[in-house]
Amino acid sequence: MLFDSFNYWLFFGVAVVVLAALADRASRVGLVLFSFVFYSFWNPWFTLLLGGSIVANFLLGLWIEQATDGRRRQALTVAIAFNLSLLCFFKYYGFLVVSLGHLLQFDPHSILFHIVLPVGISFFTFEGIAYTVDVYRRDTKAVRNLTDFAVFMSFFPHLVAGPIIRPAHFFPQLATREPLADSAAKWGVIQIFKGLLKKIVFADYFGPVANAYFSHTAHNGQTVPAAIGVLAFSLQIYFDFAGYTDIARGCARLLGYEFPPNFERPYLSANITDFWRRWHISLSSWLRDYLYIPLGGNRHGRSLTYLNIVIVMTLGGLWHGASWNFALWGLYHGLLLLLHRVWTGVIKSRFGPNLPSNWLTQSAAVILTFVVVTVGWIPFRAPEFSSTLQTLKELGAGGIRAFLSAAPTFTVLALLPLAYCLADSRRNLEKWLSNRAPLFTVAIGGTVALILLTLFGQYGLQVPFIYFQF
Amino acid sequence: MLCIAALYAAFDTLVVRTGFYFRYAEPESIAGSVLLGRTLVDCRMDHSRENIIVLGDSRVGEGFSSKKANEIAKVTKLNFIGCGIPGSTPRVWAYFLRKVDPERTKFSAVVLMTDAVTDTEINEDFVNYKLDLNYCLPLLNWGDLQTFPATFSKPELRDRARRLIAFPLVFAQTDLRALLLHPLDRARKAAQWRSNYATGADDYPGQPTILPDLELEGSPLLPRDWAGIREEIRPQLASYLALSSGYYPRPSVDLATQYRRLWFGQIAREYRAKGIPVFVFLMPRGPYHAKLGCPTALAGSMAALASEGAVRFLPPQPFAALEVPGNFFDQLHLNSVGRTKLTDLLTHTIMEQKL
Repeated sequence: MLFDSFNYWLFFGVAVVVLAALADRASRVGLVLFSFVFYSFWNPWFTLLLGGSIVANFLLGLWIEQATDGRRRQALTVAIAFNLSLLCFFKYYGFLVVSLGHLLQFDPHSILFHIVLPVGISFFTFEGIAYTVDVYRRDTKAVRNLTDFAVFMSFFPHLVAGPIIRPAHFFPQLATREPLADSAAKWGVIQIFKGLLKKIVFADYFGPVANAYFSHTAHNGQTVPAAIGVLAFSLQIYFDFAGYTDIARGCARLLGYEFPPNFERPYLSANITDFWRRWHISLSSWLRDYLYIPLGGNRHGRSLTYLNIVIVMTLGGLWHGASWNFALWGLYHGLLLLLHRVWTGVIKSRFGPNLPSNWLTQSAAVILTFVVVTVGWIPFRAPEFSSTLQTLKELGAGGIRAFLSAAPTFTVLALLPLAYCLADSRRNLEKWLSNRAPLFTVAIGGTVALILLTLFGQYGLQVPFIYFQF
Repeated sequence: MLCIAALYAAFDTLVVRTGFYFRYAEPESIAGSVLLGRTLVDCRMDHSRENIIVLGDSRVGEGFSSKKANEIAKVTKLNFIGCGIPGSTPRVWAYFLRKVDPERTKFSAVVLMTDAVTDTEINEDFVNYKLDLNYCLPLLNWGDLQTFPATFSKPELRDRARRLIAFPLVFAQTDLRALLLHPLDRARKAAQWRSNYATGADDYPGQPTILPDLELEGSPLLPRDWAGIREEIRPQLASYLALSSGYYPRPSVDLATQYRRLWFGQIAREYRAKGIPVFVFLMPRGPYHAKLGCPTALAGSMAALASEGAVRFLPPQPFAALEVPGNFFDQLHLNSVGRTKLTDLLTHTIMEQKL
């Protein structure tokens, strides 16, 4: 049940009405039931996996908290091993076996069996790890109520593609839940429409262009040049994932919960470090808190810091999927971050403290960052390594002007959001609509968005959300 | 959210449900062909006479001339209205008739075509005929939300049908965008088609091309020599020969029976309740049907409907006798010669039945 499907909105409408009619405790039980129903639409059997993961992490949290000092670490190790083994089995088993087969020269097919990847497993196992580690660090108290814990793990807006929720952010909301304020409701509605526009109008337009390039087919009779194909994927993945997050946050808000932001206009970042502070924030902060810092972070000298960055980013790449292409993408970003650290830490401080900083240099920095990030998407999207190399070779090929003149919508849809971001750089419109605009004005805005979705949405293409596969 | 839904519903009502958009819909589209069919009926309706609608797909458009029929019937009070909506099916005709004649009082008889005397001849799954959704776009309303989707058996088509009724603007999206891009051109084009369509259809003489007699052989059946057959129709002709000779497996006969009973039966039931007869005639099925020895005796759903008195099936043999290449310009449609013959035959047969 995808967020851009009619069935989801029917489901969500029923959930809002039913949960609003229930008292606080009953509504939490209801929320868990709705979440399991939602999850069962993919594969009812996987609800057992989700349920098992919830119960196990709930018990492990209690064990960690109650264990004596000497045993705490042992309990945490069990908790992490449990979550990682779940993830590794379902997501990486085939990949590891095939890779080992190549390395050790044996036929992997004899020990390979077909495993269906449960949707959202990467997200809920990371949430399980975050919870048990936080309990271990005493940042969070172990939850005593299984329903509350099940809400945290299974809450359907974030269940299958995040954002990755942190215990310290979520559990206090369960403790002090207040009636939905007007401004919160308006904000939720705005996020939902913003997300739907991003997904249905933008991502689902760019998706088929990228698909045409990477599958060597024509798009509406036009050959897609490599640069356009790669740019299309860069825009698709942003609008797709940011759109999903907006919808998830909006839905959660209407149900009385708040999710942290996951994107902060990342393609306007002026450097790669800034980009990672604004792209998939819930993952990058998770990697920082639960991988980079435990590895030593930047506490053990420059060389180890650089190494930690590269390790964390490569593993972060692999988190996206069981393929060396994702690892390559992560490694690329690790090296970019390393390069940026060298630039800021060594070169800039030594040679260029007085580098001019004006709109021209800022724009150049933004463009450069966007270009390196976009090039980085090639291994992420390409079906295999050879295809990545081929795409890199083809990047300079011509035909861009011919494609753009035959498909003017591409240019319009690529530049429209940029123009909007520049015109409203402080997000005043969104703030005004949420906080000060009368309800009727918001309703008019929502109706206009719905009409735009009707007229310009890409329907019938069935382009799934990209992050559902992770 | 409720406020947004209400405002959107108001917009949707204003644009679609009042028929505003359909005044400017692309005439050369599927929905446009249905709307032009409606225009045709409105233009040809003569309230001083007994109006008889002859309804079918493009084969009625090519094979039946209202003008000639009315010349033949000029001594009577009958007024023939030929309405061929290209690609349409009995399900579409049922909704079309409901739209043009909601009270079932406008016509003194309804004449429907069929291209099969037996259900075993049906070679497509019409229960799940996807294009019907596009045809029905201008014909449906909120009241059909339960019943129309239920006429499809595939869940995905039922779902699509529900969405068609709930969000017709989404289904008209491409055309709406084109309309917004060039509103004046579209308004002009739609008005032109509306005002000229009926006259154009009246003056249409039919296609002059004649198919040659062919020697058929092999499996699948193919002409021994393609000489005299236009290049562009050869693939369709080959497909027609394979289908008509039973080379490809046909879909379930039960489904075809249910389908024909449902839609012909529904139209008949609604008109019979007002005492208006519904005639069904065999549209000449193809240029080589006589050669292929296809059945001409009524059987299956049509025989059942006829024996129940729901429809009056016109004797099929004289119509089947027109299934020779000299009367066709391609594998489906009658040419100008066939058009004259069918118009003559159908008009006289109906006159005999009515008078």
